[in-house]
Amino acid sequence: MTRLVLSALGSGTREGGVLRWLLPLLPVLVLLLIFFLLPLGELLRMSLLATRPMPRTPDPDVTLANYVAVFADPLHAEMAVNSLLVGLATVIFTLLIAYPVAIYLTRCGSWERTFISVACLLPIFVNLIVGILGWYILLLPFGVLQQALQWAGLIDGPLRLLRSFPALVLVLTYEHLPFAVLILASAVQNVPQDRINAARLLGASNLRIFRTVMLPLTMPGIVASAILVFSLSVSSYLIPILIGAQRVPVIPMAIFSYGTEQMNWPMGAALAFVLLVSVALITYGFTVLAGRLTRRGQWEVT
Amino acid sequence: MKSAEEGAAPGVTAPDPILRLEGLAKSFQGQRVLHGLDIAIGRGEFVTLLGPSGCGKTTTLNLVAGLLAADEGSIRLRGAVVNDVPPQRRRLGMVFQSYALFPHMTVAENIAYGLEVQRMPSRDIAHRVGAMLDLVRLPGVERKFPSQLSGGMQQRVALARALVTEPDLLLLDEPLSNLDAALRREMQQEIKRIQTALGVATLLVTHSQEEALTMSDRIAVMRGGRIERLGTPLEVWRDPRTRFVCTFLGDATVLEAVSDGTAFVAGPLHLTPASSAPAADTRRTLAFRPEHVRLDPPADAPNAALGLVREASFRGAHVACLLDCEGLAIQAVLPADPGGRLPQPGTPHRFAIPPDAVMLLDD
Repeated sequence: MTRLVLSALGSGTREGGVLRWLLPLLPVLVLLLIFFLLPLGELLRMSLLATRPMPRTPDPDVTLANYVAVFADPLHAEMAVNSLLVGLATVIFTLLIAYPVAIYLTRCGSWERTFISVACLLPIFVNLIVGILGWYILLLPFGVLQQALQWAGLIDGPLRLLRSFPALVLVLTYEHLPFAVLILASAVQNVPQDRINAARLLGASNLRIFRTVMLPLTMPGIVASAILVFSLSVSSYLIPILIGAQRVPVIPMAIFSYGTEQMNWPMGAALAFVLLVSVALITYGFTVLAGRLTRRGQWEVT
Repeated sequence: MKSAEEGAAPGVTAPDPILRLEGLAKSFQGQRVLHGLDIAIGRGEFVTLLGPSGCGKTTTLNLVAGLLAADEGSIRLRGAVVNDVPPQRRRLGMVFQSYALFPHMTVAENIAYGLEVQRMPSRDIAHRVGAMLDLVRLPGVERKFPSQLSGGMQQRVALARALVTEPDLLLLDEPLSNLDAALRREMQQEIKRIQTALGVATLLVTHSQEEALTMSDRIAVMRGGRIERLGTPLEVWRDPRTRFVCTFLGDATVLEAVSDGTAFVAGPLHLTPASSAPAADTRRTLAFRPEHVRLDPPADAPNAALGLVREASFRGAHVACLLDCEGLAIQAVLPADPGGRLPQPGTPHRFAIPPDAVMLLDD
């Protein structure tokens, strides 16, 4: 059946080979086109329309005014810096926690492995808002944590744990840790034990083995989880609005505000597009830098 | 290629061995894989642990390397018990079956790794790496990555990396099993040459009797977590003592025989071993190697009998023969006749087994 369709499709052209290669990808390509490229194009189109109070009556004129406005607003600059710092801090803390867990996962017994895997996956199954509200209650000025600390005599009076940069990074780290653990565990698992043993017999300390063998060989996993966590954190809206709120304004909050409260879709679209391109550039830069540092292009067999 | 009938046995009773294992035992999940292993390796000596998979040879090597912890017994390196010393501080060289080269480092960086750990000045490192590459005959590949090298070359790099720190004991874990036959033979000689040049004591683990016989000063044939026979290649080959060692080392015709006071009798065969005359009514297992069987021997040859040629196959340098001696199957390997004549299947031939060639075995 498939063969029949293939030959029918390929009969008209001499490009049968390309078609054969393209056909299995077709469902994915169609999905990408409909649910990713088309909305993206629409976003780009909208961002180039002149700002109007009502989104239903857009001015057909094409203009870069929105982008000028995006870069001119000092609030956007503050939000961009916040977003970047939140993203970086989340990536760093996620990796710092996930890497040791990943190493432990590959070394421990099967019972522990199951336990840790389930513990890591659980946050994914819990509804995002429920998870966030859990942290909310925990961190509230008269919440569980602060009451406990006060009762223990460790703090004197309520602290502002919520609505702070550390709280935002904490919850983002918690939320995105499972992805990093899963990616890093498979990266660590793929480093043959023989290579680690070889380094040990050559006298290398555990720290040196980590620095000179583990780190370079698991770099693809580190890069992948860093990219994932960074883009998820930077584009997250619910967690910043509920945990950091106006104390830690980030770009997605402005995009949401333009789209709903101010009904200024072209501005929102322009800001979203700038965020998208920035994340893509940072991601690309990070990948290139990591590849350069480990000279991956030279030794990796493709 | 079962010669290698040279090679003395230094360190057989070395007073100051580099490595001494005493009563070494190890279990995995309640399963005993080593039962009280004892062996000593002299300085500069090449010892091989030979055995089928699961005999405990690799476990022994990992215990010596410190990659596993022993349940019982002691491991003495240079006279000191090292059971609790981590691999980092055992000062050993090791070549892994997979070579375990660092793929993200150049050949020079791989070899330099052990020296970098010792914080040697970089000029000395470059010098030592160069000298090591000359020794393993791999000049000019310093800047290549392992993935750009062939299996044999990677093997040489692994050897250079293990030896650059000048360890006095080298551990080789089936280092040749990933190479093709021709390269394996070449690397056997290379490893032996380098080992002799450096005078480094070596513990080789292999399941290949050919490797063991050609490279070792002494061979420890292992079975089921025990050393069944320990000796020079020649001793082990000529007097394997047990049926397992005899047949593991090479082809042999094994017979159950009863002594009649002057010779061992198995069917029509009357075999007199070169050693002392057997007492009457002693039951023994006898064996002899196919290449020791003489076809059409002189009339006065001892241990002769008449057999029927069942099969004869030309193998180039020799002819493999299967003789039927009244129901006893006798394997024989004969030197190829220069005229190209093969023993014809179905023809009767006299054959004889020299008394020297008769091996007495215990089960």
